[in-house]
Amino acid sequence: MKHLQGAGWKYGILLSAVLVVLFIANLFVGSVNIPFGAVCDVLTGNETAKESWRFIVLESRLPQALTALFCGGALAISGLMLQTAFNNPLAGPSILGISTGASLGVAIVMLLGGSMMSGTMFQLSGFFATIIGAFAGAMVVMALILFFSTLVKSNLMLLIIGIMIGYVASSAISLLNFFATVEGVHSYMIWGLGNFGGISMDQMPYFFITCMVGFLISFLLIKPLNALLLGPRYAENLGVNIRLVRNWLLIASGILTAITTAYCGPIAFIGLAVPHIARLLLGTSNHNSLMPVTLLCGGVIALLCNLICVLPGENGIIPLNAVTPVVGAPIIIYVIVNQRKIQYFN
Amino acid sequence: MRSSKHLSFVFFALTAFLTLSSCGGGKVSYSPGEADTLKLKYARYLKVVRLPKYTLATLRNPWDTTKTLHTYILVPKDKPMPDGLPNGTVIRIPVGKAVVYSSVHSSLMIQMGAQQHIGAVCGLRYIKLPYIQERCREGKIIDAGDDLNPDIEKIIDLHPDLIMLSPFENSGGYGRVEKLGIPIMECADYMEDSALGRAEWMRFYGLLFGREKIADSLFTIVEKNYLALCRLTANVKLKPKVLDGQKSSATWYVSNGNSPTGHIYADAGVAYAFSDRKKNGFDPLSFEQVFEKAQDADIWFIKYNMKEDKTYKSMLRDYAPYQNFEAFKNHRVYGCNTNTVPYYEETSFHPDWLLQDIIVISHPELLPGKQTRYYKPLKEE
Amino acid sequence: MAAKKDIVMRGSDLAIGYSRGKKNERTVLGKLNFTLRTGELTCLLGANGAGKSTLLRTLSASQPPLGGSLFLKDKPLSTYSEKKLSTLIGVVLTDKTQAGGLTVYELVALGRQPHTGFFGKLHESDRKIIAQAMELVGISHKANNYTAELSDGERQKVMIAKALVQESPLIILDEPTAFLDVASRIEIMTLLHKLASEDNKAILLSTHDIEQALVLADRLWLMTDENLQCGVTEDLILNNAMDDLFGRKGISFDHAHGVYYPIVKGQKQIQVFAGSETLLHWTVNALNRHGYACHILANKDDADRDLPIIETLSPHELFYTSVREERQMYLSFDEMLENL
Repeated sequence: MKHLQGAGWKYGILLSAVLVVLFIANLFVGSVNIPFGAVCDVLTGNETAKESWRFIVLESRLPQALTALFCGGALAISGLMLQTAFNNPLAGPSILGISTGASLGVAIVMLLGGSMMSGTMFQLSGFFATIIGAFAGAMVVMALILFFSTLVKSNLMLLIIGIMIGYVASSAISLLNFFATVEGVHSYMIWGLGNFGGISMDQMPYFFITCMVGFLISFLLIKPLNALLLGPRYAENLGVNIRLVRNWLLIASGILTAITTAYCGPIAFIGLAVPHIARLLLGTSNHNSLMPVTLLCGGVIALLCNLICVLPGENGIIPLNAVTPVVGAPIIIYVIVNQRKIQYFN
Repeated sequence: MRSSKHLSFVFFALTAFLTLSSCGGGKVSYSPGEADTLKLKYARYLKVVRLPKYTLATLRNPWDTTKTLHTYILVPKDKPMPDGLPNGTVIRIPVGKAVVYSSVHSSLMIQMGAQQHIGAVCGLRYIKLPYIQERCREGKIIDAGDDLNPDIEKIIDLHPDLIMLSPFENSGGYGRVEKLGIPIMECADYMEDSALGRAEWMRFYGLLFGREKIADSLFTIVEKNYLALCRLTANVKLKPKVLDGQKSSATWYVSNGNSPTGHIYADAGVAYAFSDRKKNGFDPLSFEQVFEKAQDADIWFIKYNMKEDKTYKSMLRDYAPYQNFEAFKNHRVYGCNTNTVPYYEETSFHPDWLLQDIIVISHPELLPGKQTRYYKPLKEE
Repeated sequence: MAAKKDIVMRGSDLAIGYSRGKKNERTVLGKLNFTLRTGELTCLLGANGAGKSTLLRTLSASQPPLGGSLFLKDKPLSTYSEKKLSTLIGVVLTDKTQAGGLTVYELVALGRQPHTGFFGKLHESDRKIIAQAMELVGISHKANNYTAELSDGERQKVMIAKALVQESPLIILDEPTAFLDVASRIEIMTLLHKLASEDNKAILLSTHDIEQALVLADRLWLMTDENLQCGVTEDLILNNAMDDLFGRKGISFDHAHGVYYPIVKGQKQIQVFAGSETLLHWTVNALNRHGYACHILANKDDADRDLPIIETLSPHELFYTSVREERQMYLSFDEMLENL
């Protein structure tokens, strides 16, 4: 794992290329068998044999690929920031309970039958209510964590608080499920399997913008994140305002987790595994190259998982959260087993 | 007199010999003269044989049709318990009080006039039958809690004669309820893949509560109506294409061609979009696959359970690409909100009402003037 | 010509300690008065638990003082922004980092953060400073290695280089030579001394390495439970300030050699005469270890007949004269001590 000068650029270009290939593959490959030529026709604006094919490629596959791309990147970056800030290689967007909070929001909407939502001026229908519920749930937990961040200086203690909040949210979800209808429980379970196909092209701008805001804040945190590698005391001495940086980090992570969970359901593993994949590839902890490479890797992995989901073809689709751990878990095991050999753990 | 005595003796000896010879075995063999098999025309998983001293009901295992799910021996209460009964669960009929897990069966019992036999129900808050709600309030029907985790104490307190629940594959037992020593009726009617097959089970349930005649005539009416409707659509030239269901997260659960849903659509004389999927049950397909197949469907049926009725606008909010279905564009989407409409409670044993709905919507010229019972056109917003 | 010495830091009646709210204060030490000047290497010595780390944390603005005043350059320390502080104070600590995956160059480059823009982009001037610092500490040859691959001594040099590129006039180090072997310790201390004298930095470090501190420190700060004594090394030594530094019985400070040694409660007594200072020192050392209280003879004739005598004329000529006036020769300390 020799660190070569410019490895960051090398992998950046390589991953970008793979990303483009996978993105295009996701347009050509899906659960419906559309001939190669037909997809080309659709993309070039020509006439196709079946009108439904045009629709599928442009209104179903395209937004799905875009969603996977941004979702993967968002979760990966979120995971990276949390792992560095909390000096914990097992940190991820779910560890602070933010995605559990989002799940609780959805559980409230789905399982309490929207009794709180209806009766207001505007009628919130199923999916829309789900998005609001998820986002609200995530933001509430994030606000809680931020509040505790002002009280607690130690990172380890804050992490434990986050885990505890996650447990409480989980238990509330269990309770809601217990008293719910069979259909409600089933709907919630299905939502929990994750889905890149929930966003239509007209909703895409909101998703895109929110992700971009999260990305922007994250990239602005590259410099203090590098300083944080030395530990809080050294970072302080280098002029980093630890509390402020931690708060912005939580906000960025919170926004990215909230928006992805709201639109796609709680997606497992990408936030935890992808930063490690990026570190393994690059062989560095330097966020100047690690951050963008993590972003690209996240997109690549998500697009790959999206492809795997449609493998059964005629028989249906595999749920997303069944695929992501199969890709992610072996990687984490590899990292743990080889800990001694991997320098950035020393 | 001597000859009849003689005959009786032979008869008795034969019976004794036959019953004795079958002791210890589960399978009963009897000569056609003595036994009277209930002629079930449609139900595949049920076999009922009337014997002199008791009635034998054999339920076939729907998941492994070579095996028996359960054998029931129905012995009339006013007759003594016969000796040498075959293996099986003994139920004294007519049943006094029953714990009825599913509102589908409660509903049937009310229709058969057997409602006083309902001792307890499960999932009370989802039951829309006013009779049940009222009796529960009066304390005459017990709320036994949740069907997956029923309140055992209340059930024991009731001293019921029977527990009626729905079996499921590899159930591994029904929990503590089994240990109470109360006969458990595994109502496998829902596993029948034909609508009439499922409805026909009402004749068996009628037997349990001493309501055979009513149940039989009820079924006759249902059968007559259903077949009449089938005949109505038999020679229809133009079959509208029909689409069913909605996307839930990443999956669109699609009923296959040989499922009960598929069969009803076939009987209604419509071209169900997935009739070529020649198997039972349903599959999780992607939006793409459904769109590819059913984008040009003329009519779209959706069932859902929500506080408010769905509208075209709310469907758009759910997933904007729905608007590209022809049925959506032409505003031919029909919805049934099972929260307010007793779809599940009624259609199991009144498939003719459901079939009528579908025909009224897809072939209005065949049933002019009739209103739909379950599916209503979606409102704009 | 020595460079002009500026006062970088001054403390008056400073009280250091921990505060957990108004009612809950624990003063570790109060009424501290000191100065730190550029061009000087100051060593902070004291027993464990005396409060050395607390003092260093207070001076590096990691924790607030409980009372008194603390000035950096001419302004109170508390008035500086974090950014400004990072250009005025550089620290080197014993903290574990997760920077093992950074190369030496990248880690040292982190020291430029106070001077760089939003993304920490390095300009040519920055690169020059980094290269110079690495050269100065002697770690340039390892610039592209991972810090996880370095030895402890090399890692300390990297941290010092990082503090250097911050270009701060004051560098504070918390036990920089802990865990290092003696050669590395000398190397680091010499480096620090050089940085002080040649680069005109004010360097303050805490250490348990009394030996090197006494040799290389321009000033000593001696911290006990009661106070902090500051002064030039030789003044403090010769005014017996070192004697009670650890406040414990059983140890004594050797003024001549600048080391602490255990006090021997010797029951046995013996007289020693040696041919040189060195021979005398080591003979007494060996005899003390064996429980002998030694009387040193200026010349042989002053010997007391009632006590045995050891004469060391050379490392291979040792003579033992017993009370009964029997004289025995030994060829090594090993032999002599065995037969004692």
